[in-house]
Amino acid sequence: MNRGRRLLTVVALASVAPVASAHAQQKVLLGHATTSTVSLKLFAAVGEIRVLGWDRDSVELSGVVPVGVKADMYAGAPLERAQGMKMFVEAPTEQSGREGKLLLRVPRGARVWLKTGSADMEVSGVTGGLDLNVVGGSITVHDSPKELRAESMDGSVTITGAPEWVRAKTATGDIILRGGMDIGASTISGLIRTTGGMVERAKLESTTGAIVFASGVARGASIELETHSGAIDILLSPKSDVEIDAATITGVIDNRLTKLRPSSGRESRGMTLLTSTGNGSARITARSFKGTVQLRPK
Amino acid sequence: MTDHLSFETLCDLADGACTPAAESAARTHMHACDECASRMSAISALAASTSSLPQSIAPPADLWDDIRKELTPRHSFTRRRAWAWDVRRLVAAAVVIAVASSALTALILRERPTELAGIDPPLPTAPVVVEAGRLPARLASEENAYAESVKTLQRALDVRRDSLAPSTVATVERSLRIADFAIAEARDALAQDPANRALAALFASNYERKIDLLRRATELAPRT
Repeated sequence: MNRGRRLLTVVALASVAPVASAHAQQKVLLGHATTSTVSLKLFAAVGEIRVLGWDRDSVELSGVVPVGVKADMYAGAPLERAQGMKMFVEAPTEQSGREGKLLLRVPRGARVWLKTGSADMEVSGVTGGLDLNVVGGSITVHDSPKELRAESMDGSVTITGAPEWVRAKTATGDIILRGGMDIGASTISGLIRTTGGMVERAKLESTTGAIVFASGVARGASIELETHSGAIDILLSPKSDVEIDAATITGVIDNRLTKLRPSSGRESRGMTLLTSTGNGSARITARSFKGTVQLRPK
Repeated sequence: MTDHLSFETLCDLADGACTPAAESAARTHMHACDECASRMSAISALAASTSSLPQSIAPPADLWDDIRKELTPRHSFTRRRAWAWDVRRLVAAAVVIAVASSALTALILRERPTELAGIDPPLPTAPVVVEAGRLPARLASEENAYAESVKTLQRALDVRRDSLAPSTVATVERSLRIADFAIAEARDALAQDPANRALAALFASNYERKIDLLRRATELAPRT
């Protein structure tokens, strides 16, 4: 470890009495002055972590973790405001890495890269960039970071703000988006649901998970929905200016949005439908192997 | 004559994947165009001579042995970070090798069919649930490239399997089985309707999601 590059302005790791658990715990408090747009990497083996954007040009990590867990940070030159930082919270055992709670405070404009194992992760107040990665826990992001990448294997990804750019991936977890302009969401078997906001560009794809698109559609938007066997449910305002191109290989298309009926697909298998509302300036493409595609007014 | 038939059209024609109208137009063109007729003849001969070839070609066996040796887990904590970086570099290198191998395969299949007789038999491919029919040459070549990437990432994941939490391994394996089933279903349908572009795109997307899942699984931290 290069101690010359290591700076801890505030460090306190102290054992405290166990509360109601058999495991002794210790407090963590790490901090450093930074620029308002600091880039921060944190790997945290912990049970729960919150990230909070605040109006100070500094980073602070605080909370309680099991005894034996190591927490440390690296921030470059000691007397300068850090432009980049690395922090880690490392547990000696798998079990201890699933316990404890941490709060990370960062400048609102920070770019945060955060990776954990089974922690539930919640972020609010950050307007910079977020790159969040968790295996078994959930990810919840409030407010509207400029860029957001969120990946989880098992847990859900929920975004309540309206990021300009968002990419979300899961294996089995659900992806719930309540806003966003440029959206990419991919899952194997989770649900993808978008509601709210005005989407300019989106690609939502699943293998068996259902896809529900109920967001507003911006003028000239391009939306792609694709699944192997999940259902695709498209809810649009009848006043939308959208052209919809839907096709299935063996699945059914159920159109309750316009009066046009779908026609049979190639070799009389599957269905196709090309219909529009308003002047059709935006375009939605829906492709499904055997899932049902449903168009409904909202 | 300047507007020659595209390579894709000629391949579709050789595979019998053109619509009747497109086939009629192409054959009319070839009656008047010696160059296209010659290319069509070469592609037809190629399709005939490659019909009995394996669908994938393995890299040299000693290459995998070397990679496997480098991927052997090390137990000291201080060396784990270096090992993890090595894995990433090796996986990247292996993917590059796989892609290069697939590109070479495609090139050989298209241009040098008579030289394939001496190439080693293929390694076993990723598990596929539904037995499917043979794909046309163009789609088979694309699938080869995907299968090579899957194989490389699967090996990297196998090496790391013991360092991951059992629940994570279960989630990944369950999702891979779902992806495999979807690939097999799409593949089976594509073998029956090879000219269906929407189906081909769904088939490719199923592979891409599986590869992305494998890539993410190989990047998980130990004990997660």
